[in-house]
Amino acid sequence: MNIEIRHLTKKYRNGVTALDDISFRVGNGVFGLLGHNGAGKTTLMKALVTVLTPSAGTVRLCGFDTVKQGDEVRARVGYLPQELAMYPSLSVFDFVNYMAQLKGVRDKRAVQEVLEEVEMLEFSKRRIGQLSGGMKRRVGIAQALLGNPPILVVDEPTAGLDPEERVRLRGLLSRYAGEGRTVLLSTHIVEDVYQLCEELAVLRKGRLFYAGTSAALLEQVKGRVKILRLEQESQLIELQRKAVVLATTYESRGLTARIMDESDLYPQAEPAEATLEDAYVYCMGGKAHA
Amino acid sequence: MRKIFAIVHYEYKMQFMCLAAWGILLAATVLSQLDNFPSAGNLARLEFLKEPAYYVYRIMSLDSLILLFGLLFLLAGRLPLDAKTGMKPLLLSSALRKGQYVWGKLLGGFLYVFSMLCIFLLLNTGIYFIAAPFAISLSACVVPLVKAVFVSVIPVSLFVSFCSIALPGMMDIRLFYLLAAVFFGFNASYVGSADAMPFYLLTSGDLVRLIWVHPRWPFVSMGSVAANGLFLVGSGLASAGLLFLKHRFWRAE
Repeated sequence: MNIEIRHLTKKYRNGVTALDDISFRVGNGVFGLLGHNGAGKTTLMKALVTVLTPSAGTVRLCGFDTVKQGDEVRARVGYLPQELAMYPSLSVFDFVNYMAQLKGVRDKRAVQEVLEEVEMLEFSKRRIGQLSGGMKRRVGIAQALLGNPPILVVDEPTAGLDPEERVRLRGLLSRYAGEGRTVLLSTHIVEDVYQLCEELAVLRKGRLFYAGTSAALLEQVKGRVKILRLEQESQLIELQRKAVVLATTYESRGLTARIMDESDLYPQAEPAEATLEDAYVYCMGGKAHA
Repeated sequence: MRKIFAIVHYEYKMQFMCLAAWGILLAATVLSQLDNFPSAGNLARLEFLKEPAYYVYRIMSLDSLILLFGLLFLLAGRLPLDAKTGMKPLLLSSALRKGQYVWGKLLGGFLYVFSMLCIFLLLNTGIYFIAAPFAISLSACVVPLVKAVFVSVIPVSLFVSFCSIALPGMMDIRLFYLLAAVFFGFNASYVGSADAMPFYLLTSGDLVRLIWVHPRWPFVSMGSVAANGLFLVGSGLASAGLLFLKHRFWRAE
């Protein structure tokens, strides 16, 4: 296993427990880390890349302990933080070259290679401040790829991107993981995980809610997702008391609710094919409105 | 060392491209020329303006304060900016040590302030040399400039760059701005005397008397010169030292 997390706990000085006894393992390929904002995904990622020291538990990357063997870990991991504005006045090439020097990558061809990999070589002279959000994210990925690390940790790489950029980034991550490496992808966009990951973990309020394959998570809700047509909003309020409402859609004649009918309370509802998003929303115990 | 050089190089490059700093340099030069241009009015007002050493002494002790104040404000954001832009976690996840990061930032800032101050002095002295309605030898301008670089520009650059980069890494940047404004305000309003000057003056302390000394009061207190130099260099180094001592500034190593 490339990443091994055992009983990881992180408590901040203000008493907030950001991570509570987290344990799971990650092998080759793209592994998804799902959770709401504030679920602890970023804290977990920071602990993985040695930015944060755990309060308890251990994290091992490629067999190296993140606390005791930090240098070994840092040499094997590429990281893209959630909000990376970089240095707006530097050119794309200068920024990646700067990061290459800090990572001990001395060959300038390596800089060109990673820029080519993320399709940014033609914009290498452009200033970072002049790039679009998607381009900035690609530059961020480029610096993470420097030194060809066996583990790539990317925090919300597709948040706020247009669909075309999201597809491009997903392709990039998938390609990188396909070469026998590990990509740990943190996101709250279920679609990204569905498209990329065979395995995932779901965090909720700092605790591990699920770790395993996407298929097994889907299996938990299979045959229980139904669509119920309602005429009035008051019926929806009543429904929410009895069942888990996954999503609601308002239409010209009333509304439809996508529900998790665990005890077959609504035989009149039409069965629907379960999606990973249904399973995720069910995990979170919440509902989504459309 | 390669990593420190990389940080110094790119810090210098980023700051050198900062248009605001060039605007401040231009404004300081215009104000300096209004005060010291060798025009008939200024020559009548300032008794020793015909002496290049006096001219260099004057722009260093008075007018450079405007430039330094602006640079201090611009440099103060260097460390908080890394935290704000997400660069800090990125740097922490690389194999970069605290010492490499801090020294890179400090030395990059020092070289930048040093360069800007040298450009300011050269530009102003160049204008004086070209515009003076009396004959001046080149050496008469170069000698006080070289003196100014060694006795004042180096310690002042160290004080401004190290304090403005290191202190906001430890305290609220608004408090730092307030303290800096009070310090510079006091320096700007302080009127010199023939006696030894307070050691804590930035550009008008006794160090600048090594560039030019008033012929009627040819008095230089070497103790006061040393105290002024020690204050500037010592405060800069102490600020950097405090940052090194702050454990929470960097990951546990």
